[in-house]
Amino acid sequence: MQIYLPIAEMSVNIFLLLGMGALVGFLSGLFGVGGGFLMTPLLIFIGINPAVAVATQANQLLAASLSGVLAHWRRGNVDVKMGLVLLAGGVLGSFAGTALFTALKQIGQVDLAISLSYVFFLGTIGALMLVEGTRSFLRQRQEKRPLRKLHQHNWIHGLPFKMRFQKSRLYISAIPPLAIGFLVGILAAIMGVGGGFVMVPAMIYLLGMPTAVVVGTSLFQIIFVAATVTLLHSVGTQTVDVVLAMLLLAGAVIGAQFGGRAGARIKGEVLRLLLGLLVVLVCLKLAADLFTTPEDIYNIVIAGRG
Amino acid sequence: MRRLLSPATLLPLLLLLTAPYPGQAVERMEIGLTTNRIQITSRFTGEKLVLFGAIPAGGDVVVVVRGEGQEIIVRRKERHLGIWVNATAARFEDVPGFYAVASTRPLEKIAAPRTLKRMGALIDALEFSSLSLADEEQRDAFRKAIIRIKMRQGLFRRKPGAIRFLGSALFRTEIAFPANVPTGNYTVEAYHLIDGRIANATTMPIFIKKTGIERGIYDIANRFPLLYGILAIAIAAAAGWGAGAYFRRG
Repeated sequence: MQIYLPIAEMSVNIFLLLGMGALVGFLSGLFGVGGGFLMTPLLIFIGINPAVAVATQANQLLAASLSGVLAHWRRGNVDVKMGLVLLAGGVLGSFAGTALFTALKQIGQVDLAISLSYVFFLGTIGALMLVEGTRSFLRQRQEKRPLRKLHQHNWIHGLPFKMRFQKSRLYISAIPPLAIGFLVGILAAIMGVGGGFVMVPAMIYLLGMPTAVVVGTSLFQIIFVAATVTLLHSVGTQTVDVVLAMLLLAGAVIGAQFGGRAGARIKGEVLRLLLGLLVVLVCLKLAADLFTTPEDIYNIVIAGRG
Repeated sequence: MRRLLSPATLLPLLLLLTAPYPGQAVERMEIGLTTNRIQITSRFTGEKLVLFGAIPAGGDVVVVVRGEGQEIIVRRKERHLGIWVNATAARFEDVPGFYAVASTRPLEKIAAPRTLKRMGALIDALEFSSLSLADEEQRDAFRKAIIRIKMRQGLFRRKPGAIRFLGSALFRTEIAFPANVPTGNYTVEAYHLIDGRIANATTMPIFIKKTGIERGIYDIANRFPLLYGILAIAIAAAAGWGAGAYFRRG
């Protein structure tokens, strides 16, 4: 059954979209990540204009992270104060990101920018995950892991504008969370991703937040960043397709439930290794596309769109 | 098709064309369409219109369907540091969003290139105005790229032999619009050619519009983008909240 997407202006099989949503939802439930980094490339792959793919994905992300944050909220695993500081950075970042996106669109480099940022971030994070995953996998086999300190003291603790974050049991400068939020805002605007894959490691390793509150807090701030990006893209580029977003979401929420159940049965180390592998694969595929000679070296777009 | 070369057959025909008598079956070419309004709804997967018509005497028929002009940016990729990057760009105005040519026989057998070009029947010879590129050769390469890509997207179509005669005077053809067809006001031009010369021409409009919910969504997105953004956020928030609440119980 085909459905005509009003903003993407193309007709797509409804089950293909639901299936893609379910697949990405399953993986995000399994690994506890947003899955935007998989969805945007998939949408581009089935022929959706990259600008529409990114903006629509941001809208879908808003719904997905809202449904995800509820469970964390009930368990009290959201550090609202930290979330708000991250968000302040995130909102600034999403303004900067959408401005950058619009500028790139005008000079015709938005597709390249999307691909390059994917290759860079997925490559870096994927490689780190693989290394870390392999290490902890081996270590776990040999001996019991030594207890880690609550967090390490480093240069970050020397920065000014200190704030107390009770839930995270931290007394740190507001600058690093603002900067992290800012970066994530840019990523959301130009890649259509929540940036959980950047933010979660940064919150754990850079800020030293307790793992329990990290996911809930990152989801909490992504909701608002995704809302800002949705609004900015709606006004600036008119590329948010609500019909597409809702179809993807419908698939994703169902997929996420199964993914979450499957994830509970697999060991954390194995999961992280698998996720690292997946991230690296997506990165390699995107990188290969940049280097292979295109079928047609010319491409056309209608002025004023994508 | 039979060729009507002798003046004996041409003369009455010319008379027929220049001085139409009322009451005659067909004096000049006439065409009709099954409908001239195409509505794009959520179930739209493309549409086929049947065009039928009649000509007073033998000859060939060529039909040209033209969509509204669009402003197009063409970019050419170049290799930099091993990566393919958009390099040269050119802006072309007035590139038809859709273009289809159907004919009774292969075009080169119907008329001379000059005549065909005047009718706009030669897709490869279509010209689009551009202010961007000074270099003639480069501009032509870009022009050809537009045509090649539009053909690949199914938005430019060439259908020689797609017009069939039913008997000696009646003809019929199908005009297929793909799912990605742009909206707008279209024109259908039909030419009746005899011995390579245009004997008659007629035109009809087609209107392609989004309708129903598709139209509503598109209109809000483009006319009230701020409202659209707020609605998109509200819908997503409601859907996310609903899904989260539902699965807590389940």
